[in-house]
Amino acid sequence: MTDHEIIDGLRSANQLLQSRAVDVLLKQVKEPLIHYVKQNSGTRAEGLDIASEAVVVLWKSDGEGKFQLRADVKLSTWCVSVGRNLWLKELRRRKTWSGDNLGGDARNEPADGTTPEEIIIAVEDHDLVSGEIRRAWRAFKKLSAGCQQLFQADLEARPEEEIMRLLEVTNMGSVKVKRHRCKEKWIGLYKQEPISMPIRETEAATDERGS
Amino acid sequence: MNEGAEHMRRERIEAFVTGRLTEVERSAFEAEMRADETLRAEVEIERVLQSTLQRAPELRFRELVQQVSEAQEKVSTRDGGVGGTVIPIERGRWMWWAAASVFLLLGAGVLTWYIMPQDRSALAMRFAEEHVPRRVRGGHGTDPRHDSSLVRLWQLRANGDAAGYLSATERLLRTDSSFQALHGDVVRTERMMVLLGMGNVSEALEERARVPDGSPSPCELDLVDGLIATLQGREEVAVQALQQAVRGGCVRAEELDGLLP
Repeated sequence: MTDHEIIDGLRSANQLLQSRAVDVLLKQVKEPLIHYVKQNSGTRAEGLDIASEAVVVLWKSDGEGKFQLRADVKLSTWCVSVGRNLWLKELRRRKTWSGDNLGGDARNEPADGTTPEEIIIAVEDHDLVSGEIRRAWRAFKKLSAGCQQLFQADLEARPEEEIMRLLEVTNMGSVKVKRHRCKEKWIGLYKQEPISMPIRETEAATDERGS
Repeated sequence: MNEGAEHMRRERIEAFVTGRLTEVERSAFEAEMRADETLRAEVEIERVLQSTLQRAPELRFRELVQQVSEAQEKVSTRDGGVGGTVIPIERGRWMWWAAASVFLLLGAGVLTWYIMPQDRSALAMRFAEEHVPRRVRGGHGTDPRHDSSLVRLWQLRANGDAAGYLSATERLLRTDSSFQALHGDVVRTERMMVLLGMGNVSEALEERARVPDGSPSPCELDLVDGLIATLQGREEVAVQALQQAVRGGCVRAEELDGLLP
């Protein structure tokens, strides 16, 4: 699969094509990033997370028109560079959070001075998904198909007529009632969901760091 | 609080979080918030839900990446690619050679038995995903009332929105008897292809059971049977059915490249 085909696959609305593209790209970037993360205070699991995160950054940057496929830079090189910088950002975040007590290799955190500006911006703009959003998303997926479609239609600002047709109702009043009930249901499910961590800050991470 | 009042309260919270209140309304709302802890908590939850909705496309993509990554890890662990024990050559050369021989033999077996059918399954899914039935008899005429539905279905399929296509066709076939009479045969055949494109053999079989043999197109049904058998790993049956479909004229042999010997 060429870089162009991978990008086409990532852009596709077809999940099968998207999966193929993700599969190929992940295979290209996973091992270099796991190696890098493990060399810099991390674990294999964290390396895997960073590889996935790098693919997400590419997908987002491309969707926002901030990514340009260039003949002189391979897609995998771009993603590996993003991944390395994401890991450095994560180390910085942990240092700040824990008062710089990581120890070991983290103290010798490498400076990736060769990173192009566009990658630095992409990484800086990238927000991890918070634990709360993950919790809300898990609850969202437990909603009925009708409720999910309704929220999706709202998000896409679909015309009222289309929403009424979708819900098989004849007036907007019924849509409002349905929306209200769906929201109440979502809030209820959200409250039942356990709280989750923003990124795999695992016990394993601490264990492996220690070893 | 009754549902109407609760509804209005919820709408105000939404309007506040999404910035749709006027300056005066916003100030009043903020004053209420300062005095009401429950309201503050509800606003926080609303903020999270709104952010989640805004990030829904990204969250879906993340899930896909996660699924692919986990699948890769499973394969890697199963094949012993990661974390396997290495036998030092100097300490056990004969063991190393024995292990290597066993590995090679196993590898050859796995390649024949496992990887090849996997490739055929992927080819079958890709074919089904893209195949548009050609030799399916339509109904007994057309009805302009269905035009927009048909265009919508075509768009869903062209965009690869399999779930959208299946849900829309299911609804049309269930609720619109005129649509079913005119387009049911084509749509049911296409639904089978969409399901097979997703690798969903069980639902494709259910759909297949709803279509009697000989109708609407024996050739397309041979093709469906061949793809189902391929995905089930029943090679002989698959080849027979696919060859039958080629003879029936609804598919060319070269389109089935990799699926026929």
